[in-house]
Amino acid sequence: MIINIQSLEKNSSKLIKSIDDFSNNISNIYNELNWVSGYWNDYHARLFFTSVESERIKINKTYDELVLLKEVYKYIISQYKSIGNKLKVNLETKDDILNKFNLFNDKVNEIISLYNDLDLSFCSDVASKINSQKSKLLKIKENIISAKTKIKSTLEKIEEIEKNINFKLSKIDIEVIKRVDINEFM
Amino acid sequence: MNGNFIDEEEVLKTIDKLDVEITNEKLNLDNIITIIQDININYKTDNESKLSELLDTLNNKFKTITAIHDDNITVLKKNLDTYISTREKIANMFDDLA
Repeated sequence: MIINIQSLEKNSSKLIKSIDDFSNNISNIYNELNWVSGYWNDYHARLFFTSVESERIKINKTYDELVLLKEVYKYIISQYKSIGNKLKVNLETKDDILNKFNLFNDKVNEIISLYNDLDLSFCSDVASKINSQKSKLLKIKENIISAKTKIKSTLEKIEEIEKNINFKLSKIDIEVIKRVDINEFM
Repeated sequence: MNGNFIDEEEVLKTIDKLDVEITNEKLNLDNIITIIQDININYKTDNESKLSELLDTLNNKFKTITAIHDDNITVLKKNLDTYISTREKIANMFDDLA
């Protein structure tokens, strides 16, 4: 997966403005149609303006659908912003990545255990050097564990965000609308 | 409202206003689709196909909305034309009688 948060944020602001413009435009169109209904009155007009009213209600729902979509993008931005500006990760390799940390950690444990098995009583002059190396190794082990925990937590967070986005998207149902036969109004 | 009538001047004014609004809206609807496409380019995940599916449905809906608004103008224009043509025919009949 590749996510560019900065670009998402920039385009999301444009989307918010466009959705507002859409709402204003639709409102102007139907206010104008409603206004002219006072200047045309016959059988066809009555049929036409009744149809226009039900059409207005259906088209207005588009605004709600756009708002839901906008909310999903807002969620994507707010959640990923805390992780980074640009993300490139393959979630399918999550277990492999974590296993590599485990293997590395096991190897360090093996070396530490070799250090522990050493009898340093007869070589006190090098014992301090060896103990210092062992301490460095223990520090590396700590760093490995800490890095693994951070990476695991980030990958799990990404998985959770994607799951939530999927759920939010599944709730958006864009209603299909149909044109009516305009010949009955003429 | 009683009786049948069309106020030609007001209906024409409305047609002109709707023409302007709908032209703006067409641009706006195209703009929304372009922006969403740009957003989706920067969000490549497993949810991408669902977003793309929603965008296609939305694009088709926008096309229908634009067509509906064009239809509304057509209805107003044609009824106005019919009204004017009938009015002229009646006026000519009176002229012929005179």
